[in-house]
Amino acid sequence: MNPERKKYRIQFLLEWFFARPLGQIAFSSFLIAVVSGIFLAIPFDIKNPYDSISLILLTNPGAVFFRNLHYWSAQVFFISTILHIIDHFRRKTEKKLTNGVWLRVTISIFFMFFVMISGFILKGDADAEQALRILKSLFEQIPFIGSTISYSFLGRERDYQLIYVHHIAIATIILWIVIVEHSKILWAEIKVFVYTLIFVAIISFMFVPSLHDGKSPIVKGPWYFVGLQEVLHWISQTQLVLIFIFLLFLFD
Amino acid sequence: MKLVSRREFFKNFFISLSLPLAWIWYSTTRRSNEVSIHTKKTVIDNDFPNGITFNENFIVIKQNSSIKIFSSKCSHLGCRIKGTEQNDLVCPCHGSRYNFNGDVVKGPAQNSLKLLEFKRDGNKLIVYES
Repeated sequence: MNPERKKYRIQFLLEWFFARPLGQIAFSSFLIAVVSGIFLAIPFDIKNPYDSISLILLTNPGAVFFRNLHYWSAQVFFISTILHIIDHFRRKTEKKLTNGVWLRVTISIFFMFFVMISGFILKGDADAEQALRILKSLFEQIPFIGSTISYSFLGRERDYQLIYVHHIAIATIILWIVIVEHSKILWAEIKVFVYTLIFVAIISFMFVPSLHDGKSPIVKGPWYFVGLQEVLHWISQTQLVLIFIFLLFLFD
Repeated sequence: MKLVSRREFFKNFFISLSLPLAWIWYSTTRRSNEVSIHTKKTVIDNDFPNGITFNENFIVIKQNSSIKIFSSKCSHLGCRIKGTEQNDLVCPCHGSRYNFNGDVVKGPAQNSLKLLEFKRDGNKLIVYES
């Protein structure tokens, strides 16, 4: 293919892709995640997260569907939010926001990651336990206020209660407020919402997110932390990773 | 005298309130943390076979009458070590390796595994985790 034509085609595809209502898709999937999370909270037992999810998977097809819906809508929310941010940088429209809103939107990125990783931890399986320990160690390495941050966000060891409260209430409410504040809409566009719901429901019928039973020695973190995992694999001084993340937020 | 607008007054009021609130938050979490981080005692049967036994929180290495108990927390980022590979204790998260004396063979970990204190009490072992 002519290189000029190839370049034009890629450009066209990118334009087409970013013309999708990414912010609306993100908001729709966020709402689906919130509502499915409410249904999932009924059979979920915070005292025995792994056992309760195993029981759901074995005996409760309705709850399995809501769990799948919760998981996949959260993934769509995360991906479309990242793309939405990239799109704003690409079009240089981020300057439309006031400084205060920009600050809150930037801080909300941390809460988005937190709500995702706390959901991963709440599975309570072997992967989740190790992820919790890594996160705790990383938080504790923040100078001066590390143990305060760690205790405030993750609570006591082997106690999921505080993480659960943050996941279902605090982080979710903060995200909701920031979404409404910067988008100035209270509800996602109904057409986008319906399409997103259909898409997520189809995936939820087809794919069940698995649990790690602890028999395999290989521990896998969530896919969105693969990069961080790889960096931690090679760097002994984990404080450097924290400084890098902090600088990334600072210059955002 | 310069009049302060209501908006400015509340802004300054909440900013000045944030400092004592931050202090209360810091001291509350610190106290709760101190209470929860006390030395934990675990009582286990002293019937380990020769070799390595992995417990949830510690690793027991026994050679006849000699016993060493290490914390199973990797010194890199705290993952629990639950297995061996080619005569090394291997962290499943980032691949740090330790020999059976708890010393680092391969990073990213830099420090040795924590050697735990324990006491023999008849057929039981009391392991102190701090």
